[in-house]
Amino acid sequence: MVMVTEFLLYVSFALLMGGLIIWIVPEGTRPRVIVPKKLLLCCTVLIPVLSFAPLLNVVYVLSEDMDYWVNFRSILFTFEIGKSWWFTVAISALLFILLYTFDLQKNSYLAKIGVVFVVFMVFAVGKAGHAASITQWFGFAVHSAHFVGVTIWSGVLMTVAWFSKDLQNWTSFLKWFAPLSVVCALIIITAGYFTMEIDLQSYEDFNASVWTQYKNSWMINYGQALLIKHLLYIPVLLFGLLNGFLLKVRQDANSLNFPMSLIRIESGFVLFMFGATAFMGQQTPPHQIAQTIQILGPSPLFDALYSSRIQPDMAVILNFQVMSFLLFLLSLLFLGLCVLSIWKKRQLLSLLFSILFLPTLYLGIMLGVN
Amino acid sequence: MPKHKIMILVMSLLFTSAAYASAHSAILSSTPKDDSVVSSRIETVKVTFNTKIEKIIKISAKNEAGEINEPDSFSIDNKTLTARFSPLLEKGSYLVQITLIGADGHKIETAFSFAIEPANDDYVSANQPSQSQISSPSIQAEVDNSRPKSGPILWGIATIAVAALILVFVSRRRSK
Repeated sequence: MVMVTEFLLYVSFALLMGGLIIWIVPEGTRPRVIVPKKLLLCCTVLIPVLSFAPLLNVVYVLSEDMDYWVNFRSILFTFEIGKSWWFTVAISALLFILLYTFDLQKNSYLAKIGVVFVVFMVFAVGKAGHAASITQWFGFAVHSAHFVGVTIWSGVLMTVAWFSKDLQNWTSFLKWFAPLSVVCALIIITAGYFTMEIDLQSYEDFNASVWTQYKNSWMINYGQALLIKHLLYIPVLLFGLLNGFLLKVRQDANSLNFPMSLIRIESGFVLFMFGATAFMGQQTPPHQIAQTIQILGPSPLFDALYSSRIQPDMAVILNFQVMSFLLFLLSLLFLGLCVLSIWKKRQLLSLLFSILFLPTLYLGIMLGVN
Repeated sequence: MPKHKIMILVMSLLFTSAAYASAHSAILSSTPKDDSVVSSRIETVKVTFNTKIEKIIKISAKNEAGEINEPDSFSIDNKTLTARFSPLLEKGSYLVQITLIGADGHKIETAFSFAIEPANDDYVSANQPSQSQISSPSIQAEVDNSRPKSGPILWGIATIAVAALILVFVSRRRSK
């Protein structure tokens, strides 16, 4: 259930950030986007409410031995996640007052303050995360940077995808959004790599490289989710590149179909990435893979695809056979067909092919596991 | 559907999710070391984790006969847990199992083992407990930081109020 609240939390952050940024940029540089103030107020309230779910989870875990109220108090006032939560509540309250009292759509100075508030709340999420809990400050920093990048980019993407009323100023919009996307993507990937380095660190073999751990983690849920999340990023990047740089759009295009449907498809993939992330966050990280397999068992998905019995101290070695190469070829074909269908403006087909691409590539990789 | 029933449904959904036990942190070091053999009886077991210990749920030392020894008392210092066993742990091989909550709020179940093999029959314990070290018979000796501090809350409310006032003030001036 915390996975669901985490997923909704990411969506709330994205919509809030996206809405505020859209309000800040001049109207000539974006399509006509109607962001309801009520929606942003709703997100502002939802963030502390949804952030409370992990705390309730801890109360439940502890309550088997001790009484609820004592645990509740200690979680709220002494646990790191409790302290982060109070901070989130305080900032969200400030933001709510700001949003409610003023018309931020007309006042870009205050809207920028709003953005700063959202960034602070993102930091609170990073502070309560796993990477932050096992490092001095670096984990907190990179995780937060990663999430800021995600919120800004996916927020604008989703807001434009679902709240635009037309395609006016599309070129002007891309003039700033495309570079912003690139910058965000670089931050997301770099900060994401460093976060991964912390979260994949093995305590069984301190010298294991990130790549080794990445592969070995496929045996448990965390690694499977991480891999799927990364695979999902490929179509996102593809659509992003096409939308941002390669497609020519007629300025007077009044129908919302193209390229808006592509933007929507892109945002759909991002939602799935949020889902994978929410799932991943509730799984055991791959610090002690052998122990995790012994206590909790391997990933059911991995177990289903791997032919022999899984021993806890196995290592994943990639050995691609003919079948894998065929699948890789097929996945490239799907990718190509996807691009082709976009060029031919057959958006649904592109969606189909991009969806087909994913399991094909995934299977190709998994079948190469030894 | 009546409102209170919806509430119960929502709350129970939230709680059922807690069935996902997960081990999120690990033991960085321990005394005695994992898989080591020591030659004297053990009074103190020290474990350092890779994360701040928010709460210890369970500690036990199980010997090869399956007997479970629980510590008489334990204390937490940020990432380090110190558990005292009374009576001392005697000769045998032990599996120390610890369940705790780490700084990211996730439940950790972890363990390590060691063995006690006396060097000679003379069985001199290196950890002679001095009177001042033995804690009182009460079980809970963990750092008592569960009392809510009202200070920070008042500060927080004051900050929010002041900030809100500033905002109103600023907007008034700008709209002139």
